[in-house]
Amino acid sequence: MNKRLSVLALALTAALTVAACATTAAPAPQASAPAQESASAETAPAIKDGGEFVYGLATEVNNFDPFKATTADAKSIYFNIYEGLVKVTPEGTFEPAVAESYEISEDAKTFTFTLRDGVKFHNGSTVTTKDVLYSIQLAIDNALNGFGNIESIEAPDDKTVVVTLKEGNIDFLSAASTAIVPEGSDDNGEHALAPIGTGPFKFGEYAVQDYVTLERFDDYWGEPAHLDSVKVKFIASSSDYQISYQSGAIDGFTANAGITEQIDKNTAKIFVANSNAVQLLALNNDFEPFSDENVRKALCYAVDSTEIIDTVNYGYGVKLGSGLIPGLTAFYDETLADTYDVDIEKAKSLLAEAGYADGFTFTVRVPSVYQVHVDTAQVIVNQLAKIGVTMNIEQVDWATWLEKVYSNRDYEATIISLDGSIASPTAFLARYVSDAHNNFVNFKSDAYDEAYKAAVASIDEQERIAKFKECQKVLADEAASVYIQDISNILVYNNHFDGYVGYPLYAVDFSVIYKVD
Amino acid sequence: MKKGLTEIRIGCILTGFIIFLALLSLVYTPYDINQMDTSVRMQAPSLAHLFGTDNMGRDVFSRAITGARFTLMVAICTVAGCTAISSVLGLVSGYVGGIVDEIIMRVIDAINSFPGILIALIIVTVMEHGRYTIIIALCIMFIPSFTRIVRTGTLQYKDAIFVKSNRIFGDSELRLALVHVFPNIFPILLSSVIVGLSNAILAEASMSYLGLGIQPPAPSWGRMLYEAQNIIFTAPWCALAPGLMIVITIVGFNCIGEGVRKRWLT
Amino acid sequence: MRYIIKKIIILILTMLLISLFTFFAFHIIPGDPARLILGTEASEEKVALLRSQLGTDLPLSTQYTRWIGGFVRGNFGNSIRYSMPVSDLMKGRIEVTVLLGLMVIVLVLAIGIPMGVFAAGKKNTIIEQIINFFTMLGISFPGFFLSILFIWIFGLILHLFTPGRYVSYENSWPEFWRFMFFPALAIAVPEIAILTKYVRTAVLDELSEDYVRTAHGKGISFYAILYGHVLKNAIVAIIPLIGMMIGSIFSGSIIVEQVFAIPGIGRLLISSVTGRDFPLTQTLVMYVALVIVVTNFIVDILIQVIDPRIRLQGK
Repeated sequence: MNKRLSVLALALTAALTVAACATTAAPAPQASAPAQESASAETAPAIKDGGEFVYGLATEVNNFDPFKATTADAKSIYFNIYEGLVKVTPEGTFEPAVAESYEISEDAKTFTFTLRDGVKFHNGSTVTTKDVLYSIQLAIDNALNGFGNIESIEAPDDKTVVVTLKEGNIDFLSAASTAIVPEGSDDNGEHALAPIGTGPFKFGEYAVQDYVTLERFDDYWGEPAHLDSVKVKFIASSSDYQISYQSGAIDGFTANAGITEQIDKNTAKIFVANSNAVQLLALNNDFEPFSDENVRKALCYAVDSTEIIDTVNYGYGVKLGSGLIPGLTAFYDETLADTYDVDIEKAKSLLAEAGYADGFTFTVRVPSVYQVHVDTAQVIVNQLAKIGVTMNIEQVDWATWLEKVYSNRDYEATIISLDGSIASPTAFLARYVSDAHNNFVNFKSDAYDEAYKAAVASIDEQERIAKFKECQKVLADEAASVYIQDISNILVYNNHFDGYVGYPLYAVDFSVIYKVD
Repeated sequence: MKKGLTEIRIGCILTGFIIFLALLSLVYTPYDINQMDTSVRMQAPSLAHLFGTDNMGRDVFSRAITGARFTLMVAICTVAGCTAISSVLGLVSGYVGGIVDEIIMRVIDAINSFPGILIALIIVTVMEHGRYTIIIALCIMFIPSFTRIVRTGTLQYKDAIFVKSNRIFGDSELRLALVHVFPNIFPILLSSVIVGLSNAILAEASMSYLGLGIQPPAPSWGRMLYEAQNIIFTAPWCALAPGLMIVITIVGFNCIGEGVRKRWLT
Repeated sequence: MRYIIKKIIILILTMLLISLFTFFAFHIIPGDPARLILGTEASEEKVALLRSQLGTDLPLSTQYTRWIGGFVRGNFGNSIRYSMPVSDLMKGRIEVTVLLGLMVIVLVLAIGIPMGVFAAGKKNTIIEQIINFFTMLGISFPGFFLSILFIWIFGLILHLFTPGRYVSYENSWPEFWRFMFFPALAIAVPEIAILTKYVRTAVLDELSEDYVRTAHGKGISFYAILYGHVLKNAIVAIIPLIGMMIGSIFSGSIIVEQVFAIPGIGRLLISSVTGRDFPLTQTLVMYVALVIVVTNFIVDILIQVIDPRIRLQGK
């Protein structure tokens, strides 16, 4: 390995060190809510293997194809079934998994993976380079993020796979965590309901709208799971978490912050982690008053993120001022969170300047499935009333939101949390480039486009960081939208289990959870 | 004592009480219905907050009485609209019969077996979001059962002896239908109206699920119930207040209906 | 017989009308199943790829003819959301909803009829007043509210069942019934109240008929008259009512399945609409429509058989 590579690898580690911050540096706004409450270390019970863990999930997972299903909850489940050449760690770095080691060339164009010996699929066969080539080809065919950049893939010998990129991009390592599946295993779309991977759990039984079970894979190459099985139980709606938990139907779940007030903390362990998504009041920059930068700024001055976090999320959230999550520590610019401190007078004068001294009326389209966004909207209604702006709420169902707001950009304003599919700033910032297909806020700024282009083109880590920070600053200064917070997720599970470890991306790692008496 | 008078009295007191609260909310509520205060989040009922506070620290009493106004308006408009339309359709269908009856009944059957949420989604798409789009959606959903009831009643009475005798006396068919047949369907229609009011209140709540109901932050009982589901164990009063107000209202309507039926219609 | 055949032809036309309604409804409302499956992060190319795999990019007429062509041959197509044949998905779910419905009907009849008869026997007493009060209350509780209360009181306070832990009948019949009892009761309560009132009225009406008075005059005991003649006639009079209840029991079960998390037809229907899963929704709508249309058809015939005042049209 050459020197250049180790520098890159270090920078990468720094860039992706998300987990430590995400799980432990989560805000504990009320003294009574420490980030983690669990059985104290001194009386740590002995790890007991076996048992079943029932995990509640409000979204049903109905497709187990790693190249298709991309809802956050689906990903968190198949994290246990599938593994890539590399695998994300709780710290947000990548460690070799199906590959035993990897090398990245100086120009970040060539990635060489050496396969680990004797890694078994759940169907009993051993992973070969053919399987890896097949899997990467599936990812390319399915147009997964990052795979469009691949120039060629080859296997020079039966232990080595070389991926060559069109343009140097160290982010490709995060793409290499995409699932490795047996050759030919999806020729007839079998993955959807009969997934085969190399992970610590194999797919068990699936009952539509009811549950899916995962069983421990005994031939796993790494540390085997403690539990015999996991039952992921689909809950009809998020309001049923508490009912099911209290009745003993489920052992654990992940929910919004309100749950902390409702769970008996003596019998439960509570984990706080960032959701790693940016909640914002997205303003359609093409809509008449919002095309004026001063109007957008006025709204930024009027909206009090801290009040929203307190009222809607019981204080569990990180205030944001721009479009990147704090989890990406190396790239995140925390100073921007205070760009617009609440200032009603300033907001009013900005409105007057823009010719809206008497305020105006607009409609915010909110997806009704997310109570947290509906509640946020209700708080913002009150806040904007103070500067004479009337905001009407219009709830729409999720499918309508996706089509009208996201795809057709037919809206005035909306409230949503934007997430990233990979732990990279591009996943969050690409959408603000003027001609980006997913630039649904219609933000147009030459300064931004230039900075983003420079950031992506650069393979020098310091320059990348500087340019991505510049992007965030432009978003804040030009008030692309009103940025609110990174909402915290609360993971709750009962005292009969322990060992949970948080991840920076969507992942619930069942293999480390164990039963205690 | 005259038959049914007690029921009418009880019913009037109950509904009158709810209507009084709804009207009161026009001029006075103890707190602003949208005022949020996290320092009094999910407080149990007390003198300061008669029905306690919700998860955002809003006063449940103020919201519940304002909700009465929105909910009653939706329910009454829905039932009034759908009774009017259904009476015409049902009378025509039952009285005229033949191909007209067949067409009306088939369309009614089709609507009836159509999932309500699909109807609701179509209406929203076609009409854009008016504030009271919900009324139209509910109306359409309720028309089939009302029409069936009126039609069955019409069939029952159109050849009854008293109708026949009036026909002999030369009454026009229209007059027969309106003056002799329709009033006889009234008792059964009345009970449907009352069930309809109850269903409309309930359906408004289910529609909130898809975001079609009264839009927040305006409160309606259905919406309040829906939002309270999340905190039912920590703050049960958030669900009990609108829930019991619904029950009181429906009991009130039912008592009046029962009394009226006993007194004038039997 | 010709009347029945004519009715059946009309029934088929109604079903066709419903399928057209559903189809066009689905293409008026916004929402792209491919985008729904893949989420906001997926690239346009990926969505377009899935769209062509699902066939949702084909012209409307092609999609409809394809679907109806399959449907008449018994092939309901593949669910978009669950990537399995719709028929497989329906299996095991219809049973759940039907069993739930049966339990409701059993509860309604087992409680409603005796209570109605009992109330009729206690005319003008305090007991009548009490029964009246409870039927009034029963009609006035919205199913949604009642379900939440049941979960709270019977589930979490009294521990009579475990909310959220539905047990399939394939695993254990007793556990299945134990869980299903409470949702069934939540649907049944208002129906029981309605039936009680109807039975009471029907029995009282019947008791005032001449033949009862004659029988009474002949010295036959009250209960012998009641069970021998009155009840039989009264029950015949409530058959149409029970027919009409089927529809409201089904719509009640949509809400209750949602609140109690029961994997039946109702819950599947809601998720198929929110997921814009056209083949699944279409099949479910057709199924529900068939049940309702056929029930109405039977009720129509029964009413005509029972009540001679209603003449058959075009006889």
